[in-house]
Parts: sequence; structure tokens; C-alpha cells
Amino acid sequence: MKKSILTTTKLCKTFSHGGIQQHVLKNMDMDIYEGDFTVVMGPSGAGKSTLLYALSGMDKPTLGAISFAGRDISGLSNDRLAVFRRDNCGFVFQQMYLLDNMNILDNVLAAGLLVNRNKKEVVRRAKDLLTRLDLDEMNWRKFPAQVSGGEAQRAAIARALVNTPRIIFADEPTGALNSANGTRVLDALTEINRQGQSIVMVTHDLRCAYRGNRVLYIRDGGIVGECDLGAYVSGDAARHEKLRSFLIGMGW
Amino acid sequence: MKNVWMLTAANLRRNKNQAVIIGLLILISALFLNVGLVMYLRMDDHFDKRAEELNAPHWIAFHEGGPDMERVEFLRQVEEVADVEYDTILFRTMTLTIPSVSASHMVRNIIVPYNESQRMNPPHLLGDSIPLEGNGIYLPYFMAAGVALGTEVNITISEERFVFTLAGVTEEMVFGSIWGSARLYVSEAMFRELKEAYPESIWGLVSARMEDVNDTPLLASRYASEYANRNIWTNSLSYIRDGRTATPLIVAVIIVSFSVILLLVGLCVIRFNIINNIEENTVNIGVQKAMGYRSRQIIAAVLLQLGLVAASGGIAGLLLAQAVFPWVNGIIRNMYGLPWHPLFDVPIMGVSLFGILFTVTAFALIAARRLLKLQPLNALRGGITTHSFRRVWFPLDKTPGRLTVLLGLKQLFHHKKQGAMLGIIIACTSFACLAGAGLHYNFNVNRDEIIRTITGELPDVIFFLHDAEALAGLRERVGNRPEVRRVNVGGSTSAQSTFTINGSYLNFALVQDFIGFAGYELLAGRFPMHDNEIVMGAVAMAERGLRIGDWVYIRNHTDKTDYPYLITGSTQSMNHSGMICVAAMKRLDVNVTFGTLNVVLLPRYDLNEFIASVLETEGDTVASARNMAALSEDEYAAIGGIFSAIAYTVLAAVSCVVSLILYLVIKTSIRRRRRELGIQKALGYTTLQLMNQSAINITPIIAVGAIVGVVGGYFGFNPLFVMFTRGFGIAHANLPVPMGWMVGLCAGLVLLAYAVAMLTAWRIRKVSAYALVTE
Repeated sequence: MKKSILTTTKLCKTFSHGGIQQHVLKNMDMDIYEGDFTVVMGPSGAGKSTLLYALSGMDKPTLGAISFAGRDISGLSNDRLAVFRRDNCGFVFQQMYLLDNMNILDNVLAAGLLVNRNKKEVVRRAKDLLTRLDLDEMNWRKFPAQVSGGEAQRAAIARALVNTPRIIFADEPTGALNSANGTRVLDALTEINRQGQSIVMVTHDLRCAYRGNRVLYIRDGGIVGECDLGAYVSGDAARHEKLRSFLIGMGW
Repeated sequence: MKNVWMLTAANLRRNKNQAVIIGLLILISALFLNVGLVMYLRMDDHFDKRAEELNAPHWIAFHEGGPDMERVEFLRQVEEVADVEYDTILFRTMTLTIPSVSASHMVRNIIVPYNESQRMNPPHLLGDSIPLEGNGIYLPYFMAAGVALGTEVNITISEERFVFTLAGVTEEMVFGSIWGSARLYVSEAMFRELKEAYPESIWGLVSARMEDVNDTPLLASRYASEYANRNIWTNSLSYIRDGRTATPLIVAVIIVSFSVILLLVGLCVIRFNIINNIEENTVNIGVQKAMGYRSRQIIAAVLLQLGLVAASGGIAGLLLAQAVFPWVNGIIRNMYGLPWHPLFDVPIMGVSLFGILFTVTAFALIAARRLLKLQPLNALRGGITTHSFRRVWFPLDKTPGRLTVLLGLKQLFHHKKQGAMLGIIIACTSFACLAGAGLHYNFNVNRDEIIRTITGELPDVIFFLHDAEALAGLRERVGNRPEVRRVNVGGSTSAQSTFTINGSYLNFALVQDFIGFAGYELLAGRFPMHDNEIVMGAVAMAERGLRIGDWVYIRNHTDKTDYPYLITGSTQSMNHSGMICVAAMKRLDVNVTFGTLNVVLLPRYDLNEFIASVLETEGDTVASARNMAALSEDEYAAIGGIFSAIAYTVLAAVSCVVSLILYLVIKTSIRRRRRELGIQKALGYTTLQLMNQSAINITPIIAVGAIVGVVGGYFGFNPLFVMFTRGFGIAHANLPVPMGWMVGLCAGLVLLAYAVAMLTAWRIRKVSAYALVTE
């Protein structure tokens, strides 16, 4: 029996622009399970990113509840949500969003030292993560503008992992990368998921979705389909076909 | 041109807040500049103009006793004299209080009967008045401006109180300031009563107008020679004017200097604003250039934008200055003593505005020239690389300290130029603050040093004798009293005399001898020991190219001979250009006698008790006593009031300027760092942590700037004071500024900056991590 780490109940998110209301998420009930690599897919404007940022506490729902490990986070203040994020979540964005004025190592430490005051331990973990993600010492002292997109994204993954979060949220993590760098990033995410890390990833890239073990398809603010792919195995044609069929069925 | 206007309008729309802040800085600067310039350039003229309009005497002399028409006749025979007038007056030190407005003045008052036929400075009543009857009294403007008619006025003479009612306020050119004497008009009947009550205070007042006012020193010399053996006091209108305008002119120079500092601060902000806008709008500029706008058009738009802002702020400041003049008039009233409302001085307003606009435009042009180097393609690609980030400041893995502090310091070092600008601004403003605080301390809290610097040794009390022959005996008896530190004989002709030295007129202080002379008057050399030696003011010597050891020639107007005197030392004082002793004076006038005794007490004795005791035991010899300590206290209180007002104004202006600039810098910084702040929020930084980071980012700059400014102020305060007062005879100053005040000023500025930074950074709460990814 899988243990749910995130649960939404009647989750609604509405945006207002110039008096016109746009209901992006509508009464959404769903669970995210611990240890899963959950992929959220759907057409443009379906509410994928809105869902991701509502789940991660980056944004507040208009109505409904979100509970993280049994704790309701939908009513928390902005600062409490910030503390929630630093303690429980890691983020990997399409645009990386590394801090330009800090080198790669400092970018990771700026997140790590926020939670853990033991500098030696945080530095050791940051260096270890960077090494594991194929970023050698030469890159640690470089600024984001001085490394490749793939290296920057792997640095962002190291930043997301430094606090040992209970869940990682990734929003189109390969969207800004070329094929080779994209693959290296996906390999990194797959590897950490294999070590038990829960991941929620929004993507519209089949290659990315293929890495997940569970695919949710949303449309018009609701989950319209779900596909259980099982653990990722490289080059598994049947698994690939299952995903393709599911997505075709969803009208993708 | 139409295109330039369009760009200008777009720039103004986009930078409304910056425009308002720059406009406010220019406004404050223009306000101070206009007030300072008008005071500096127009006050003397105003005094001279009013003196002519009121037919004020160019020269006056007092003498003891009743009418003496011989003096009038003597003056009438001097061909340079145009008119002479004689009055019998009641002349003595008295305390005047107006209880309803808590006003108190201890002044050498001159009480005269109201006389409509008075020709020189006839009683010119300001505003409403009541005819003088019974116990009605007319008071000079500095004493009773704004006080309602019918208000009770108490005058205490020798512990006897007289109650008057205010019947009018007069405009007085000679006797109308805390600096000198005040003339009070009473009814004929009241004057007779007072004359009978105080016959020893009846004096004569001789007033003269010259054909040419420049001949006044000549008249002074002739009169001094003619009446050298009698107890007389003289003064000239130009000397009175210099005394009454000295403090306001020093204040004017301070105000103008402060306005220049504020303008420099404004220019720093304009540079910051221009560079910041170029960096933030590089792509827009690239688009404009790609569309065909020339660099000159884009620069012209920037200049026009700042020119409009500076013109708006400047004009508003100049208009506001007109509203400030009544306040200025109020704070200098005790010293200047004339109602002065210089509204809309168009030439000075024009010069002020032109100066500000020219400076702003020239400075903006220099800052905007970097637009010339910006190529369209580079601009479109993101343009000038504002931060190359080649160096890792405070690496987090190696630098000890709290994360928030380290991130703030990183931010600080990545924006060194902005930090330098802020540091310079804080240093300039804290320098101005310390100078203001120093003036306030020395004029209001502890006056010892300023008195030593300005007047040297001031006697605590002056005793006036019935008979000058008795002076030697009195000097010995009073000098032997245990309370007395030093006695000195005062002048018979006046406390000061005008000499013709090397052909030019100079005021000298007369002293019996220099034994035990205290104070800081002697700057170099020694006091005279022989009858052919003098000491001269350092500034007067410098102006004439004289040095210690040089010989000067002083004219004896009796035998028309110039006598040589050796300069043995240099002195300083705001009151005179040198000092001469009795023996040296005798060479110029063998008949010279001295009728006053100046006494300095040891600090532990009560002055009032001492005066009462001397008057009781020496009643046959001493006619009256003048409590100089109390008189000078009143004068310094008036000067101190002015410098206090200046210090508080500077402090308020600095607080306002620092707050405005910090607001601008931090707000701009937050706008530029939205992405970075959004990322940090996404990572879990709270608003408070980011606010602290922003505040910590600027706090070291503020602290360093404040320390540099305060330390600079500490070392620069005395040279600046000398520079501003050099024209009045000050060549050296050693005025203290307490360490506690310096530390307090630094701490206050840092706390103010931190508070403003935190308040401004409160807007970080609006920066959301979610907006970062959705924008």
C-alpha cells in the first residue's frame, strides 16, 4: 500500500483578470504518493503548472484543501509557506533560476544553509551532490552564466536536493536544454527517484514523461486520466508503447 | 523635437517615483540656496537702505551727566559733519521682561522721552500703536515683535520693578538689537519720574550724520582726542551694522554651503538614476536605436526629463523659500533687530535657478554619455554587461557568519558603485550634521571655548567711577580682594578706539597692561612689554601683509605725527583688530585717562554678591557696575538660538534627504532584484529574512559613510569655522565636539538608515515566487 504524501480535496484555483474570472483548477481530488515519480501532463492552459505550484506551496488555492503528510498547508501565511517549502520541498525550474551573482557552490549552499546551520555538514553534502551530478570542482567556482545549460540545471537539482526534501517539484526541467543535456538531467532525476526521492514533474515532453512511474493527465482543470507505468527501465518498448497509447487516448 | 518630447514623456511616466525624489532634493537645495544667498547678499544693503530712510546717525557718543552743548558745538565745527543732534537719556543696565510671552532681556537700555521732533532715526512705529501716556512704552522690534498692544512689560532697575504697558513697536537702526543697546520710549512724565529716581544714570547722547559716511572714523578719532580725559563711549553705524549682521552672515554662509552639499547629493542621485535606467532599459534603448533614434536624441530626452524635474523642484524650492523668510526673520530678530521680509528677489532667484539647472544638466550629460557607446545590437542582446561577476565575494563555504549577513554583504560588494555613491552621500550629510551639532554644542551647551575664540577674555563686571583720579586706588583695593583673579583698567575714550594705522582705520581694544591676560587671544608672539609695542589681529595683519616684528605707524591726531609701533604678537577677536596698552596709548595722547575698572573673578565666587559688596564698600568711588557676564550670556543666548535653529534645520533636512535617497536606492534595488528575490522566496526565504538582507546590504555603507563624515567633520569643523568667520577676525579656533555626540550621530544615522531600509524593503512581501515563474 503506497503512502500518500500530498492530498488535495476539492482543490480550486481561479484567476481574475480585468474582472474576468478564469477557473484553472476545478474541485480537484488527488493524491501524490511517497517515492513516486509522478508526471503531470496535459495540453497548454490545462492547469499543469498551476497545480504544481499549488501543491508545492508556491501559490495558495482559491478553495479546497491541500494536505502534506497529513498537515493542511492551504491556510498557511506566505512566510509559513516559505518555511514549509524550505523544510520539505525542492524545486527544479525550466529556466533554472540560479542566482546570477553567486557561483554554483554558493547557489547550493544558499539553500542548504537556510535549513541547516551546521556549515561543515552542508558544504560536504553540497559538494557530494554536485560530484554525484557530474559537476566537478572546476565548475563549483563558476557563475551560472559560465556553465552550460545542462550543468546549470544539474546544479539546480543539487540545490533542490541539498536539504534532503521530502518531495521535489520539477517544472519542464528539460524545456530549455538540448537533447544531450536534457537526457543527463533526466538521468539525474531518475537516479534520485530510485533512491526513494518523491518527484512531481510537469512536462509536455514524452521523453520526460517516460521517466515517471505514474502519469496524470489533466484537462480543463481536472484529472481526466491516470497511467501506471511501473518503474523506469531504459529501452523498455512495452512501457513506451503503454504511455503512447495512454496519451493518444487522452487526445494528446 | 517631437520625437524627443515623446521619449521624455515616456521616461517621466516610467520613472515617476525617481522624478519625485530628485525633484524633492532639488527643491530642498534651491530653498536653502535662495535663503542663504538672499541673506548673504541683501542683508547689509537692507540695513544701509533702512538707515538712510530713517535718517539714522552715522556716529554716536555717550557722556556722563546732564546736557553738554559744548560737544554739539565741537561736532558742528567739524566740516565733514552734516548734522548733529543731542538728547538727554537714562542709560543703564536693566532687565526687561514680558511675562505673557516669557521674554526676558538684560540690556544696556536707553530710556528716552517720546519726541516727535527727533530728526535722526525718529520713532518709527511698526504696525498699530497707542499714543504714549502714563505707563505706556514703545519697545524696539527685537524685543516686542508680535506682542499685543497693552501687554504688561516689567523693567527692573536695581531690584526696583516698574510696570509698563506696551504701546507700540519701533524700528531702531542704532539701538535695536541684543548686540548693543536698546532704546525704549516713555512718556515725558514717566521720563521725569525715572530721572529723579536715578540721577546717576543720566547721560548725554550726541548723534551725528556725516556728509560722507566713510569719514566716520576720522570724526571718531577727532572726538576721542578732544574728549580724551573724560568718560565717554562712542560707536559708529557701520560698526553696529557689522555687529548686527555678523551672525546672520555666518549663518548665510553655512546655509549656502549646506545647499551646495544637498545639490551634490542630488547630483549623485541623478547619476545613479541615469545609469540605473540605462541598465534596466537597455533592450528598450536598443529597440529605439534600431528604429532609427539617434543617440543624441535619446540623450536629449534624458536631459530634458531631468531638466524638467530640476526646474520644477527648483521653482518650487524658490517659491517655498519666500514662505520661509518670515521664519528666518524670526530666528535672526534678536541679532539683526529689523523687520526683514525680502520677498521675490528676482535676480537672486534667477541666478539660483540657472545655477541649479546648469549643474544638473551638465552632470546629467556626463552621466548619459555612455549611451553614445551603446550599439543597437548589443543593446538588444541585453546590452551593457552591468555585472561581470568575476569575483566571488564572501564564499559561503569559507566565510564564517550568518547566512543573511553574508548574502547582504555579497549584495553590497556586487554593487560597489552604488555603495560608493551612497557612502559619499552619507559622508557629506553626516559632515553637515556634525558641523551643525558642533555649532549647537559650542553656542548652547558649553560656551567657554567659543567665548575664548570670539571675544577672548571677557570681564565679569565693569565698574564705572565718579572720578577717574580714584582709579588707581580702587584698582589696588579691588585687585586685592580674594574673589578677584584679575583687574584691568578700561578705556576712557571707549572700550575700543579707532586708530589710523599705516593710513587705514582700525579698531583697537584698550587695556591697562597684559600681565595675567587670559583667553586665547594671543595666537603667536608675545604681549607688548614696552610703550612702542602693540599686538594686532592675525586677519588684519594678513590682509595688510604684516608680520610679527614689523613696524606700523599710528597717527597722533593732536600733533599730526605718525608714531612707530612694533608688532610683538598676533591676536584674534571678532570685536577688534588688535590691542594697545596704557603706556603705548600715552604716546598718542598724553592726557588719556581711564575711568572704568574691568574685573575677572575666580570661578568659585558669586558675581552678584561681589558686585553688591563692592558697591557697598566703594560707594563713594564707584558710580555703577555693569554685569558683563549676564549681558554676554544674553547676547550668546541670542546667537545660540540662531545656531540651534540652524542645527535642527540641518538635522531635519539630512534625515529627510537620507530617508528619500535610501527609499529610492532600496526601491530601485528591489525592482532590479525581483527575479533574485523570487528565487530566494521559492527556496524558502521568508520576507523578513529578505528585508534584513536588503537592510544589512546598506548598513555597512551607512556606517562607513557616517564615520567618514563625522570624523571628517571633527577635523574639518574648526578650519571651516575659521574660514566662515575669517572676515570677522577669527584666524584660529579650537572648538570641541564631544565624542559622545559623534558616536550618537553615527548611531542615529545607522539606526535611521536601517529603519528606512526595513520600511522600504517591506515591499518585498509583494514579490512572490509564483510570479517569478508565471511572469
